[in-house]
Amino acid sequence: MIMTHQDLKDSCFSQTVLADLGETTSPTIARFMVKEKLQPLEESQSGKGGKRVSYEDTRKLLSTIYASKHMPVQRIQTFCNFKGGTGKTSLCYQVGTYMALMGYNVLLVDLDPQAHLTSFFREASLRLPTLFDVINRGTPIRNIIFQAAPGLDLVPSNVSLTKIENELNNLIERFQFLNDQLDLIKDRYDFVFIDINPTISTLNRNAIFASDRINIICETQPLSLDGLTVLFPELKHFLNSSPKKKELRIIPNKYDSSTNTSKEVLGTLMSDYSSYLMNVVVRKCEEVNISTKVHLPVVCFSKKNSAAYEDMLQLAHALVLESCVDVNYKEKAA
Amino acid sequence: MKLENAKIIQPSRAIHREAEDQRPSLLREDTSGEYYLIDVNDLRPYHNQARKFFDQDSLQELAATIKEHGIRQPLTVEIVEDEPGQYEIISGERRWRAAQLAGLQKVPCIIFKNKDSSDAIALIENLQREDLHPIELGHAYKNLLEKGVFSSMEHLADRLHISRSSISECISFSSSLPKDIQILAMNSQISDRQTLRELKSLPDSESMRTHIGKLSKTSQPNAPGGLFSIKTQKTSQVIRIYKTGNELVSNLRGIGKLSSENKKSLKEILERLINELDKES
Repeated sequence: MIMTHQDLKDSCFSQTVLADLGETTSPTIARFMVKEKLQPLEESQSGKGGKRVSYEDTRKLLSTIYASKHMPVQRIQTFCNFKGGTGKTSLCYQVGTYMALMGYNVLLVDLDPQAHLTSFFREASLRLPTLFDVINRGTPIRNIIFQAAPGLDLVPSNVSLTKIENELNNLIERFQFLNDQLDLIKDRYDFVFIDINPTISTLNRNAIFASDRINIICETQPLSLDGLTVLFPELKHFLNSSPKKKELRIIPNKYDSSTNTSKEVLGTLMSDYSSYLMNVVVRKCEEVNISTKVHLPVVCFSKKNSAAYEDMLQLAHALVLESCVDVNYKEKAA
Repeated sequence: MKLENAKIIQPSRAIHREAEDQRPSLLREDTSGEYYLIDVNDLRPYHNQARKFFDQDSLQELAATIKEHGIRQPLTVEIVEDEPGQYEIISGERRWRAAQLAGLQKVPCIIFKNKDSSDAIALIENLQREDLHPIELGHAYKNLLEKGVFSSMEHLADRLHISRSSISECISFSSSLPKDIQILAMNSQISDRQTLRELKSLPDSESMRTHIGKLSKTSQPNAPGGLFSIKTQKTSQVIRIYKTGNELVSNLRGIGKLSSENKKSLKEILERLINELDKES
């Protein structure tokens, strides 16, 4: 069921969804709600059947149950590939919003002048200042951050970002700009997810330079695989010569088991890049397209048995598993 | 879905092209590993080429190797200003010549961007591979200093990891020995510094020529490389008398080092000399 346009922060979620997000069971969720003295929304408030939890309460709850148990280590991550249309922006958005729901403080950084990530956030699309203003006019980066929802901030983009390349190339340390800017604010966030466009530019090299982890999104189609073949050795060499340790991972996307092309490309990925593949295959699903239209992550509207619902959860949890270390959590005595 | 649950088809043949090693580096700033195949006719020797003398036999040998194995080490070249598509060879002139002997049309080249260091690189690369003649070295050092690539002999010595005195000496070979003697020395494969020092001490081209002639006669025909008969005895200067313009200049400092035996021999030689002079006048 597709709902009318609303913002993420106004969304609400069933307890079963919370259980799925927190990798736990419904009774545990209910128990914690009592413990944390959180009230579910009444039917009239949520407009849906069954008790639902508000966005903010979801965050609060899952922060205790989930986020506090997994401490981020690979905190700054870039989503990339050399081929366009592989789904970088979509997955960046899904992952970012899911992490925010799970209780983490997330910063999304849109480095694509096409500003598709920014377009998920209605108000951010209104020509706000961008990193171009930071470099050109000296605007402090904290002044350009858009607060999309509690725990979810955005460094927005718009067409002015096309001019940033020139400015960057005039700097002495032209690959360090983003890193230096992020240094000023990253303590506020558990994760920083950067979305870049499919070119090899100074701006994108800034993203890679600043990152702890690079997520290469590879559509299971031949041209996307070609893009990977071109990009991959370059990235590896670049990372080997970089002082900061960076993890490199491939995420197969838009997998369609009914087509031979998709199956062949996935087969090639598994044989040639096995050590870099994450153990998640994101299937092609219409709900990801709907997500782009309604500006909400899949979890807000999807049916529980859809491929997108399953896969996005799986992706988010797998990323947490790989990017975080487990923290021993002792339940406080009641 | 989990990777292991996804249906796949094993690729029967490569459906993606192999990434070539020689593709220009996209993400890295340095140019290591990036080379282009350039037509031999688009290459020319470096205007300041340190290596002025190419041994034909050695080139033929290299050509045979290249025919069999190709060129393993790319040449280093520089774009010729105002002539796009033309390149100057910074290092690898031998390989270029040998490649042409071998009939190669294209050779692998690294295109170097930094103009200022190309002299230094040329020299350093050459130094690291084969022995350059001290005279060739001298010219190259002088050139580097004059151009300002290195600010002083100390700087140069430091950069190339050799002694300052060695640099100074090579420069003196290349500047105080007459041009024709330099060529003769290189062609006669006289490259040991002791001999060159002796040549330098001689008053004029004539005597130098004679000296070289004498040494060549006693050299073994199959001596290895550029070195010929290694002197086992130490020679040092006793006295020096030479003519500059119309004046005679004498340097008698060597006498102090002589033994009484030697002094006696010297007196005999000088007496003979005086007798000769008396006869003529």
